[in-house]
Amino acid sequence: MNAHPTLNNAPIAEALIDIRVKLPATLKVEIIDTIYDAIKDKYPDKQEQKISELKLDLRSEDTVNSSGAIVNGYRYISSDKKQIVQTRLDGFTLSRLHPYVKWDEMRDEAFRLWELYKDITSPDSIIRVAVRYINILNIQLPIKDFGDYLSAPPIVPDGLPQGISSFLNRIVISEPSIGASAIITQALEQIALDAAPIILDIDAFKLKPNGMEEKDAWEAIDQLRHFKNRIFFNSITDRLKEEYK
Amino acid sequence: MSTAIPSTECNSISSFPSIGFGTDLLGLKKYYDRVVSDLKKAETLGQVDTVLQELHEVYLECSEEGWDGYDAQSISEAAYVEVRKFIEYLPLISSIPVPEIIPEPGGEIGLEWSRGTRQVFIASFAGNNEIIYAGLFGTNKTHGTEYFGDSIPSKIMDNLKILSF
Repeated sequence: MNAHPTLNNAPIAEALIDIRVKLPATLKVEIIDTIYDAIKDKYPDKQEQKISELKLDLRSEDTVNSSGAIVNGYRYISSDKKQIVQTRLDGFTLSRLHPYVKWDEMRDEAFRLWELYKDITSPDSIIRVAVRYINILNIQLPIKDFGDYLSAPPIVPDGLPQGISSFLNRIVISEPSIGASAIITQALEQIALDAAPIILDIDAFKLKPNGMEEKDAWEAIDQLRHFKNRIFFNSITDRLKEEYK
Repeated sequence: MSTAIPSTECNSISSFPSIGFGTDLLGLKKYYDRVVSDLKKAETLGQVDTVLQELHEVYLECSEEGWDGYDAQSISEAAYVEVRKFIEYLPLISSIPVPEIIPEPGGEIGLEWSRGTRQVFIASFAGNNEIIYAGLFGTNKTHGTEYFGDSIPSKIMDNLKILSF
């Protein structure tokens, strides 16, 4: 049941479906790249994804040596640059940038790509699944009170100047009924001349360090989407919802 | 009731004041950095990660004297750390194009933003808390030196905003 209103102008800047896995230790990162043949029509632009590696050498005086960057996966970008697939040694992520498409469309594409990733990598287990939505609430200035727009606005103690030029607020909540958690981040970095681009980042996830079945993982992804919606609609005021309708 | 006020300096939320040495402060900084790092894992908020990767590669390639085949000085670690900090402090959401990394023969690192040949801004870092900059915006020219501490100087941001999409 969808109890939330449909927003024709939803402020979604990016939506992600993320699956973290444990891959066989012997799997080489180059193997992951064989997925490219199957997706290059839709995702022609390929990039290596690198992480910096530090080596500890306790025998020498210089105890920490940077040994440069190593490839831990790949990014494949669609022709219109609106969709990005990451295939890494620790998992798989599909990002959809603005403009957002329907959930079903995004989920189906994530499932299609996951099947390819799974066939190539044969994961030992799925450890974590997440649905993350990054919203940019561009609120026109002047803002008399952040509480007019945010259900949980930043609070400055009484007796202090109430003007805020930047804030970062992060909370982690649990939803025991589905065994999930969510990281909710509200941030404002700088205020432009005419608007305040407030980030409302909702990362709903389910973690099972001992692994979960694939079917359960996809069921969890659907549940996480509903959890994410509840968080979003409870994070903004009716006034802001009206603006996005 | 909290209200919004504009700020002239770019106090990035990636910036955690690093003055202090206590274990509690270092622990808090580590936690804060992790929070910001998690935030930047998304494509939308993590655009600078690719630039940081390029910076690291440039630093490794140019960390020995003569890297240009002539007598260029090695890129100093101080310059590398300073440029890294600058890139990390760029706004998470922004229409400013990503910069190109340019190693300089004197051991500095330059960042170049451009939109065509007549819209160019260059900032140079030597690792001494100063940014030497020069810009060409059509027929207008600008240049100067700004102190770089825990925020991107407003003059630099004003120039970068000219290059916004």
